[in-house]
Amino acid sequence: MVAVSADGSPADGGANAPTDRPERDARPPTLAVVVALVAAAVASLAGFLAAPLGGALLGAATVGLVAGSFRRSHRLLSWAAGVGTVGLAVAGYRGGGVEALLVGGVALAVAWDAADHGLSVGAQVGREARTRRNVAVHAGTTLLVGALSVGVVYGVYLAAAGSQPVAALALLLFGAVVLASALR
Amino acid sequence: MVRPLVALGVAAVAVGFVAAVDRGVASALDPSETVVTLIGALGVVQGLRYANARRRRRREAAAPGDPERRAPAAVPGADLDERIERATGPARGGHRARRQVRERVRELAVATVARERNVSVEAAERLVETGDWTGDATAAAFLARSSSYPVRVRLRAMVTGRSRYEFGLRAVVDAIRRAEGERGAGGAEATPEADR
Amino acid sequence: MSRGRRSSAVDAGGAADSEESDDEGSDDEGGGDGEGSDDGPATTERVTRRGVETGRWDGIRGAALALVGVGVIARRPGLVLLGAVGVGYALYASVGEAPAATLDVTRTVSDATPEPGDEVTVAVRARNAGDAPVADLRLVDGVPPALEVVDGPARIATALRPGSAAAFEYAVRATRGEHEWEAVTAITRNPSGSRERTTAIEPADPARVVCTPELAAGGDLPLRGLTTRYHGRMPTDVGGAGVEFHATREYRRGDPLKRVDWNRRARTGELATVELREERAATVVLLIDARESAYAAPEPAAETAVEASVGAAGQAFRALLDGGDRVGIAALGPVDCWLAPGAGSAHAARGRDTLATDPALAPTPSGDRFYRSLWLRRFRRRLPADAQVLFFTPLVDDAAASIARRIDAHGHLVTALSPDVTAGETPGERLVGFERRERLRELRSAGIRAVEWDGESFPVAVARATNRWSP
Repeated sequence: MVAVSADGSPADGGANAPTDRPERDARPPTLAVVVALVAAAVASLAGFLAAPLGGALLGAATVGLVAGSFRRSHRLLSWAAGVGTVGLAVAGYRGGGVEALLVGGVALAVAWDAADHGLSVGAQVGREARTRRNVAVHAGTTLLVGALSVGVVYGVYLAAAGSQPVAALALLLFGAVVLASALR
Repeated sequence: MVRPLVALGVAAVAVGFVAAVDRGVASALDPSETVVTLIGALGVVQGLRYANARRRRRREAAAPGDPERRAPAAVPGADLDERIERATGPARGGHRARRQVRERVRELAVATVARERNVSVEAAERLVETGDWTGDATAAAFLARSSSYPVRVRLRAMVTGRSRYEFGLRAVVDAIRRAEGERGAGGAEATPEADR
Repeated sequence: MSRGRRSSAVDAGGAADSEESDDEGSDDEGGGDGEGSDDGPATTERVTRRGVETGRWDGIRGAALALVGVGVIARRPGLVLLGAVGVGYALYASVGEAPAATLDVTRTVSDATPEPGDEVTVAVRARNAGDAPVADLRLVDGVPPALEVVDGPARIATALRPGSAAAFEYAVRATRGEHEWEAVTAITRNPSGSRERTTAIEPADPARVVCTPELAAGGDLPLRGLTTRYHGRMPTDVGGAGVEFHATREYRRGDPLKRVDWNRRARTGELATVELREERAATVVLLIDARESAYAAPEPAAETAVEASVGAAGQAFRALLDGGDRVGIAALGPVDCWLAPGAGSAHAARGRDTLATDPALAPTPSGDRFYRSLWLRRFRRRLPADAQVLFFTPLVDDAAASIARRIDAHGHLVTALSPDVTAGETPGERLVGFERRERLRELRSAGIRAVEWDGESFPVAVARATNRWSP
């Protein structure tokens, strides 16, 4: 850091030029963008393995996540996540494998979450500050939650292998819908 | 309204769980294909509706501001620019802002004319009112009682979609500058009056 | 210093924050624990400012439901499972409040009395004093508004286990004035980030720096023409030593050589001595416009008129004292400031402190209301009858000019010294510039001397002006 020669006479007739500091860098932390990108790539790959069309949609979602990170737009990120979800639905509809779908789902969630979290950290703290720990803990927690959910869900699926009573499922869904609309 | 729905939902979930565990209950229920599909469609529709609600929701987050930067100083005239903005914009209260700005400019023009042409304030007011104080027709029209903007300015305002008032204001500012510059051309600060 | 409320005493491990989102939670218990908190060693004061739902996970439930629905319609177990995972995330988003920021914050500055322009390193350390981890913590330090950070943002984002600490450093460039740090803003979120809480944390010892510029040597400032031309309105008609021409008389033995009129000697051969107007010490009050309107600059980041005025006043103060005058300082603004005219080195030190750190001349406006007539009455009462006034003002409003006229009308010699802080870009800025010049002209035509400076240094402007005035 170089000390500017502003010492001594306090007023050189207003010539005491202020150091024109650029705006604080409010872009999301690099780590958050990298995590989002890697996770989105994983999601795309998983989607591709499940069904190519779904993988293509997830690829579009990846592009959207990157664009949203660059343009610092939460809205763009939400749209990207929405497109990714549709991609997963398509991949599932086309008969993609359960495992690939689950991996893709968790990866998409982590990707969107890291990107969105990065935006808010960028806005409140910025890229120049120390943020690694915060971003890493957040992404790790999201991944952990996803892994736990998958563990439970997949475990139940395996336990009831071959005998999924559609009736029970339909009732559960019906109950969920009714409850969701009642408890809003 | 809500309570029966909750009861229905809870009941459905409970029976669903029982059916998932007990094969007998499941086969006893055995809803038809259409019913299952309908329930699925209901889930899709409601789900999309809920997801769609996100679009209306405003994201909330604290904005800690920029304490690293020095508190910005006010630029003299920034408030006036704001009022001019209001005066030229379509906002409500534009009429009042227009009048206020015009009065302020008129005072300035009168003082300048009175000083630079060495006439009385009344005479300067008349000059400003008739538009004879400046050679610029647009500037004259801005302050004059009767004269109107030249066709050229009207056309430009129409084409650019900006107001004639804005063109007039800019022209007046330039005209005042010119009127001031007619004499103390040597330097803006060393005004002749200072010499005694 | 200004913040006397240390009332919301927070015990070391406890979460004393109330859940209310308004910040008045600490006031009602203020009377109760006032006695013990005066010299308590480390009472960090924390006030929750705001708690919100961020809404970042909104819609996840709907997406999960829709996926299950598609799965049921298409009879695809994979989609149903995917929806179930979505439900897992929805649960995750709905659990957990944003944790209370039970942090102990300490802040240290590398130099509490820097010179202007020095870089001061500020170190902030925050320890999680609660017994729950904070998964998502963002800290933004309350840098004083008049200081600029020149190295590194004054922020950090981290996660803290109970008992662990995070630290960060940044550097500010010191400028004139007394600067006290404000509260640290702590933003905490629950792990999913669905809820957020903002807490203001006031460290037990808010850091402070005091930056007192040296008064610039004012030897080259030709202020004599500004002040001693009249002696408290009364020109002396006693010829003698001084700087201003009074008369010539016949040379007498012992007259100093430098006062011999050599031109006359060359012309006529006679020896004559120039009599200069006898000088008496003048009493001068430096009045600095520090109303909110004077905190103006041609650009938002540029030096304000108050800063330019204070700098120029410092030069004038030194020059006048050196010339043997009695000088006082006053501020035209909502905060009272009065240093009675005086002389001597102790007075010089007082003047230096007043210009540097008086709250009335703080580098940012106080925000209080200014009552002109009250101020004027008090100023007149204090002003010695023979005092002259050097009025430093940007003249960006009519009030400044009218105050100059009022003081003048009261029988004091007023000289307006006006830093030009008008910009010339937009119509509004240009109009305000015209108006200011109009005010200068009006002052001059009312017999009040006015000097303005802009870009060039204050001494140069004064030299030019006094050349114009001298006969």
